[in-house]
Amino acid sequence: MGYRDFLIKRGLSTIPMFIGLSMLIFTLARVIPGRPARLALGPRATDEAVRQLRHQMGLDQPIWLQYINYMTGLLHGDLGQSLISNRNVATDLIQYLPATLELTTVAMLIAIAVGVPLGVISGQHKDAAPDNLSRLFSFFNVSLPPFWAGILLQLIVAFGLGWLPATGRIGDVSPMPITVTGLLLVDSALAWNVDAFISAAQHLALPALTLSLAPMADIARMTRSSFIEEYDKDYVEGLQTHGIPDKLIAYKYVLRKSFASTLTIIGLDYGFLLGSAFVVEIVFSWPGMASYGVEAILQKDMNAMVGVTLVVGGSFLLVNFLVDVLYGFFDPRVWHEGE
Amino acid sequence: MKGSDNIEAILLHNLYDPLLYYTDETPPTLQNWLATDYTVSEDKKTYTFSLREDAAFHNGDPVTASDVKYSFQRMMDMQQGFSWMWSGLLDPENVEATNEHTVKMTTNEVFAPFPYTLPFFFIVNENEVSGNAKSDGQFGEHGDYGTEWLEDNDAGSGPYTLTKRDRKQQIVIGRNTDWWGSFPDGNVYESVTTEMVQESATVAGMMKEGAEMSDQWLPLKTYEELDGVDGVSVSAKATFNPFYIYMHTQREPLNDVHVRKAISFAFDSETALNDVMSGDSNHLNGPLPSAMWSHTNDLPTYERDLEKAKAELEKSDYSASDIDLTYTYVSGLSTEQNMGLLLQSNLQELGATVSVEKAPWTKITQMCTSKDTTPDMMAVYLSFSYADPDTFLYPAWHSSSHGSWTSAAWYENDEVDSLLTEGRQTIGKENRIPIYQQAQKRIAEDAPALFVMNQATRNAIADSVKGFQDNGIIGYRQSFQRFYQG
Repeated sequence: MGYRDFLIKRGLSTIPMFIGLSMLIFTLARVIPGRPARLALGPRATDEAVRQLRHQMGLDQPIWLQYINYMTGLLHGDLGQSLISNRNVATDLIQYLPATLELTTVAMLIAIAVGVPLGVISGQHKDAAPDNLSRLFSFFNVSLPPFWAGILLQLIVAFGLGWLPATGRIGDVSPMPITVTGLLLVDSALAWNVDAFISAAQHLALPALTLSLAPMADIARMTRSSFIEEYDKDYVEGLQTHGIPDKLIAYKYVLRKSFASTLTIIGLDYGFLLGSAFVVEIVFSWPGMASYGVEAILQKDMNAMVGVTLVVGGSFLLVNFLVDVLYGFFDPRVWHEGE
Repeated sequence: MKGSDNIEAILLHNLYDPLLYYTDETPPTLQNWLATDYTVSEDKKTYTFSLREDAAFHNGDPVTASDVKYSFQRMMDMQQGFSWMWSGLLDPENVEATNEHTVKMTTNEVFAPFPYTLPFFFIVNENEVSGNAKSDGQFGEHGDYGTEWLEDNDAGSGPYTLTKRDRKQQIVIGRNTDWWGSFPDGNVYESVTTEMVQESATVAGMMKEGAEMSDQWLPLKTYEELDGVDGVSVSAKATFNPFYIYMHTQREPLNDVHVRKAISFAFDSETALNDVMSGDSNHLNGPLPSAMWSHTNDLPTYERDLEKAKAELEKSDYSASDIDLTYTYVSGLSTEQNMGLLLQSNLQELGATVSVEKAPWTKITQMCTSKDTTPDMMAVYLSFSYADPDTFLYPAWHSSSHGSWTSAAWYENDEVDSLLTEGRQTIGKENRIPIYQQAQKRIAEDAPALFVMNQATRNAIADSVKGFQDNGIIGYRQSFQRFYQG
């Protein structure tokens, strides 16, 4: 099997997974108790109005027919009407998803930028002081509940020192960046809008830092252990006896070989971040998809619930696929298997 | 806009004008707003409103009778928001624009609270809304009735105009200097920003850092903390937020009035007010909050008295050990949970058992649709609509309201039914007061609920903000044309 075949096979296998996910989510959203039409119209709406809305929403049809209709709509980019915003769920998601993506991506970049060197330093100095310090730091990060870390950062950095804003996504800047990608950092950079870029970066700093703490710890731990395993191999000693600098050995040879397992963790964590960003989004009033999803669940806005879950689940599948692609790139044994 | 959440209520009260509006007092009375006056016909069914001629929408169009007719038609076609108030009562074809500044509304039956519902009827600009309606909506020739456009724009005539609406983040409104009404003398707010912040610690931090007003949904502890902050005060006022514990009057043993009275005497409302709450909520004496007109104190009351409770139980067909009840509250509401635990320990002293159970609100509303699935006892904050006793009494105690969470006691009393119907059909506040007083008395005698408290509504406000008023109406507290900087 060549690399291309591996990719095709791996790519195709995500389709049944996505269909399975959609069936599960769709059924769950419809069987959990609560009456969405009643909730949407308010507790005192007349029964007639509720009946009409149920009919409009297609809730009086058998569930399999509802599912087929939904999936047909999905293929045309129609995710149904949201009861909260009165708009198509797709329109809402296009608005909220970039905010969440920007937050999780920057959080992940911070986590990688800090976590990987931390893991390498730890591995190089196994059981010495830098290793212990780094492990303590990771342990601290992973056990800190994100809402608590977020509030703490707000209290100290935003309210106490006044260095960074505590809430929102961008300040009052003029002109506002025009939406191209929806990622404010990218949009303002594209337009050379320095004020907007700085404001967006300032608003992003605290929530992204908060969200990066747990994956940072994960990445550091994983890098450390795979690094140590690789570092113990004979060729490292060989390189050392040839007088190649330690830094070069660590980052160019050992890290590259041991990076595959770290990559898996990065992929898993990234998918996980998309789903778990809601705590951070709520603390920092970040207008992202996660808080939209929480509201959808509370209001039993079914189409919104299904839409959010499919996007998060779909992203998870996509990220895992990309990780496999990279995995194969770093370690060809993966796709040579079975030859 | 549905007006069913706080943000939408704030927008409605600031961007739009109704025909009549409430005054600042508690209980609020009516004042003319877009209407300069109105008359009622002999048969008490036709109301004729004269509109002010100097009112204009934000785009400059004059406010006309045709806009009023269109606004009503739109709301009833969409069947959302406050439309339930007029459903079955006023049909769109019975709203007529007799000339440019006169509107006639003919209700299907005599309904005395009708004028009190009109502050919830906000007028939109017909031309602007129909001109911006999406053609492929669900309302036939009206398309989407401008719903999508109105999410980011406004078509009102109110004191403020919509500057910016960032969903989930903030709304910014700017003063309409051409508004027909008057702003207070002094330094009024030219622009008001409402930030949507869900986390209470963050709100507290922002208030300390100079935010000017909080909403009413923070935990009690946060208000207590904010009250101690320099430059911030907390307003606490008990208006129309009654908390009941309903008893299922059609299920054994609660179908026995003596059992219900025994429970009422056993419940310790003093502890509920002082320990569960922080002491600034009012005792609810009967089904109506004392802030509402027609409320009377001349009712049988049930202060905690175990001897009386035992005596009532003696009169019933049941012994204490027969009483094994469930108390259901909304998941996550700690006040309701604590009330349940208090009830549990109070009834334990009597020898009765209560199990405290939680359920999501969506589940509770579903449970209440049937007599069989409604919980034995259930905690509810009764929601407030128009400033009229009918808003609390009819949905809770009239038997035609059965099947809704508002009437979870399944209470049935022919005399109360006819009193509540009569109250709706009698014109004139002074004529209606004795009717509602009699109804309150009959309900209290039957003890179909524990009338626990009227909970105070709190807002944290910076000392620099003047003009804050709380008349109990949702959204009114944030109608910013009354505010100025001191």
